[in-house]
Parts: sequence; structure tokens; C-alpha cells
Amino acid sequence: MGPSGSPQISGYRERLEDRVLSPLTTASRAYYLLIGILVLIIAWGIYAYTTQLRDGLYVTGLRDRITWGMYITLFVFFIGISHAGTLISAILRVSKAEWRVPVTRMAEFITVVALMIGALMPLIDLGRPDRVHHLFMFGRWQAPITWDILAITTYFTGSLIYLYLPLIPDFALARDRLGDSVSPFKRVLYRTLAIGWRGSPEQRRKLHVAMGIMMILIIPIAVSVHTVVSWIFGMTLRDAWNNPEFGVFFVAGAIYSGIAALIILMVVIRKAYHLEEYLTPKHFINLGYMLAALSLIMMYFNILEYVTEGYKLTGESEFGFNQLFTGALAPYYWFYAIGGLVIPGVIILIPWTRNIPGILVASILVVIGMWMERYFIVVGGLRTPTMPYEAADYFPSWVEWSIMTAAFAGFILIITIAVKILPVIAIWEVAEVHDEHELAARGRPIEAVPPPVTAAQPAGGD
Amino acid sequence: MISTNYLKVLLPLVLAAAILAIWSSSVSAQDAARPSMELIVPAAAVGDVIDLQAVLLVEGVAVPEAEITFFRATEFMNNGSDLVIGIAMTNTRGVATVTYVPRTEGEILVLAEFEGMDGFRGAFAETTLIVGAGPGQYKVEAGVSVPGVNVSFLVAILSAVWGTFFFVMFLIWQIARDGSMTPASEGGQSE
Repeated sequence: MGPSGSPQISGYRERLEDRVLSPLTTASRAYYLLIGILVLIIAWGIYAYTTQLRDGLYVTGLRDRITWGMYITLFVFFIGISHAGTLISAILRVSKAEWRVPVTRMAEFITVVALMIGALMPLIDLGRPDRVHHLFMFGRWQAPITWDILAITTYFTGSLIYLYLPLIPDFALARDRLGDSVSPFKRVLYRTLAIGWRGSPEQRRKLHVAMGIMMILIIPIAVSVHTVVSWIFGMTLRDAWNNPEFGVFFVAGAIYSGIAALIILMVVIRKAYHLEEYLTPKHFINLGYMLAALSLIMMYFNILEYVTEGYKLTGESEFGFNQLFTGALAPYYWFYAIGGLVIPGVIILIPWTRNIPGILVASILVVIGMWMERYFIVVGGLRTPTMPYEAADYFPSWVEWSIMTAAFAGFILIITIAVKILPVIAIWEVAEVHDEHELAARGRPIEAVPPPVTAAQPAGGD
Repeated sequence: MISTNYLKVLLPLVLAAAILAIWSSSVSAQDAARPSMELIVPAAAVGDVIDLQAVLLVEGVAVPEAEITFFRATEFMNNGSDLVIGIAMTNTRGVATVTYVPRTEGEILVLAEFEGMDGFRGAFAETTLIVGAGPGQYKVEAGVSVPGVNVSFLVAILSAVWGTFFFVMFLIWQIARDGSMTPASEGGQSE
């Protein structure tokens, strides 16, 4: 019986701890096979990049007129995905939406990994990566690229802190519970990252203060990051990008794709680690509603842009619209509009498809659709002629496709390895919410809840 | 039969023509003048617009209408190659001039090449351009000036954000310190 005096509560905690910590101690053959396949894909991507490094950007489909393509598309896409953590974790934490507790860890982790992969892309896009330090030596405050570096560095640091803070009690739990059942490396890792956490009232108070600060601070930082990313386009003298609402449109799109990526990850982890008790249909449906709401917001922004620009048809707008609706970029555009916005919204709003498989399908469509949206924004803006010449065409080369595949493989690889090191669910937060509900249901005041403690084993070796 | 006879006549003729062509070209190459080239570069600062001049002479006499290509030496990933700065024709004084704006401080190896033309062999020259610090290439010319909204404003926001990060890191350090001061028996559990 736990110190809360309730066998149900201690039983729940024990089951939760066992279920969430067990992936940290075991790994199947299929796991190692997956790792092997991902490493091979990444190795091929590295080979493709060395080809580009040796022969120059000529080996890509990029030329003098269309100078941004696949890499910048991936940059915007991954930075967008990174907004999963901000919305699910920070905004819902601020609004005290308790249902979000089991999904926050995954959302925060997606943020950090997506930022790592996304920030690599502009470096890969450089023809002369040996001159990257020039950005720091000769960078100007007036240049959007300088703001980009500052915003992404700040967001990455903030996200890392925000991921780490709620992990401290769980690292301590892993330190105390797992003992010799994990490798010496993991034992040292958990002991180090637990930073001597004992769950004392003073430690808990400081942790809550730190988390409170970060959950508020991370929201404007995240919004600023994707706004600044949009300014890379919006502040360039290109008619297709000359849109003052680009910032808010990018932020909405980022949250939209971030939620979709989170749902996909949740489905995979739920299935792989049998977390059905903690990641329930309610979580998927709630996230699905957010996805549906954002699909409507995205449609609204699109209509807003097309009606105002299309009515005036100034500059190169006519060419820009034609290439989207009927021209070279039409397949991408219509997949995004129908497959990425309308169908996901419909799937979620119809009651008989509003279930986990349906929401998964909607999320996959959203992720693909949002990639295509990034693609036609980047390429379409540069493809529109600014002088009387024929529009250039762009199609990624094998090098770019290989690097894109490797980027996705890298994203999956880091997450695959991380789920064997980090508890994928914030155990202490889930337990805390559960305990509060249990005690409140029995009429005890929530203030009387004692600090929850591990029932199973005494403290570990440190 | 007819074709064999033709061959018997044509083959020696073709061979003779080829030998004559090779002999005449070697004689003309021996006869071609060997010009000398001198490269003149001024001292410069970053951002200065300067003239690079190549002077092409044969025994002190100017060679006009000669095409001179100017390069600067570059290197990437241990592969050296030359970057073309510009191409210019020599004037009646044998001087070819291109304009150049150095963008980096330090020493730049500048090269000039004359590939040769009728009656003249090729020539090559190189020299070092020393570039000092300059006022910078970029001059900020703000279109609209709003008092208070400038770089300092951006730095202040960034400093506030990073200052908060450091405060949170300080709290983490305090959590670690509290843990090291609390005996395992007090609290003793992870959560």
C-alpha cells in the first residue's frame, strides 16, 4: 500500500512505472533491424552529401533562377514540426488541460529532434559550407538570416531546457527503479541527469517555478521562430512571397503539421510499447479536434490570401496563381488543398471515422500535404519570373532525394534511440493527475495530497 | 583498279602536306615573339574600388588588342582553382585594366594570363594584392527611423530571454545542490 493510503493509487503508479520504464530495459530484434535500416539510409544520404560537397551544388536541381528547393523546403517543414512541443505541452500546460499530460513528453521531444534536423538543412543548402562562420564574422543585424540563427538557437536552447525539466523526476525514478537491469552507461546517465533528485518539498517547489517560467517563455519564442522563418521569404522582393500575413500563416501551418506528427508518433509508440491505458482514444480525438480546427484556420488564411491578391492581380500574381492552380505546381497545390486540408478535416468531423485509425490517416495526409505546401511556397516564389524570361523549372536530383530520405531517417533514428533511454510518458505528472482525481473522487481535499513517492523499491546506489 | 591508282597518288600527297604543315607551324612558333607581362596592383582596403593593370610588352614595345584574363587564386576543400575576376583587352600602350572590389582583408594572389595570338606567344604574371581593413562594404541607410526601435531593442529582448534561461539553469543547479545536501533517508524517493 502506498503512502497515499490507497491500494488503487499505489497499484496504478506501480503499473504505470512498470509499463513506461520497461522499454528502457529491453530491445527486440526488430528494434535493432530498424536501427540498422535507418543507419544504412543515413549512410547513403551522407554519401550523397559528399558528392555535393565534392562537385558543388551543380549535382542538385538548383540553378541560378531557382536557388532554393528541397533543402529549404525541409528546413521550413521540420521547423514547423517542431511546434508540436510548444502547443501540446506549453499552451495546454498553461491552460491546465489535464488530458495532455501523457502526450507532453513526446511532443517536447519531437520539438528538439525536429529542430536538430531542420537546422541542418540550411547548412546542407550552402555551396560553400566552409564559409558558414562568415555568418558570425560578417553577419548583419539587418539580415533576416541573422535573426533566423538567433531565433532557432534560442528556441533550441529553450526547448532543450523545457524537455529536461519534467524529465528530472523521471530520471531519478529510472535511477532508483532500474538498478542493474540497465547497462552501466544508462546507470551513469540516469544518475547524472537526475541531479540528485529526492523529491523534497524544496526541490519540487523549484522545479515547479522553473517549469512555470519555461512554459510561458517558450510560447512567444516558438511563435517568433516561425515568424522569422516566414520573413526569410516575406522580406524578399518576390511577388509570391509579398504577404504580410505570412508570419501567422506559417505559425498556424507549423502547429498544424506539428500536431499531425505528434499523433503519428503516439500511434506508433502506443502500439509498440502497449501504452493503451495511458494514450487513450480520448487523447487522439482531442488532438484530432485541434487538427480539424487548424485545417479550417489554414483554409481561411488561404482564401484570405487568394481573394485579396487575386482581386488585384498586381505584379506577377497572375503567373503565380496560374502555376499553382493549373501549371507546373498544380499537383502539389491540389494535393495540399484537398488531401492536406479538406479530407483530414472531414475525416475528423465525421463521427464514424473519428477514431484512432481515421485520425492517423488524417495526420499522415496532413504531414504529406504540409510538406507539399512548403515545397510550392519555396519553389513557386522563385519560379515566378521577375523579368520577361521563361519560367525556370526545378526538380530535385537524386542527391536531394537521398538527403531528404536521410533527414527523415535521422529524425526517426533519434526518436527510436531516445525511446530506449527516456521514459516516453511523464510518469510523475500522469501519476500526480491520477492521484488527484482518485482522492477528489473520494471527497478528500486536493491540498491534502501528500507528495507521491515510489512504492516499489528503495533509492538506488547514489 | 582505278581507286588503287588514286590511292597511290593521293597518299604521298597527303603525307607531304601533313609534314609541310607540321614543319611550317614549328617554324612559325619559333618565329613568334615572346612577350613579357607585368601586373600592377595598388594597395587597397576592403570595399575600395581598384584597378588591376596588366602591361604586355615585347622588347619594350606595347602589344595592343591582346586579350588578358585576370584571376584570383581560391581554394576549397584542398582543391585550388582560380576565380576569374574579369577579361580586358590591352590598349595602344599594352595596358589591360579590370576593376576589382576586394571583399576580405589580407593577402590575395592575383594572376593575369595572355593565351597568345598570331605572332605572339602566351604570357603569365602574378602578384600579391594586400588588402587592409576598410570602413566596410555595407552602409546602413534606414528608410524609416523609429526612435527606440533598432538593434539595441532586439538585443534587449534577446538578453531578457537568455537571462531567463540562465535563471532557470540556476534553479536547476539549486535543485542539484538541494539533492546533494538532503540525506537519502529524507525524501529518499524519486517522486
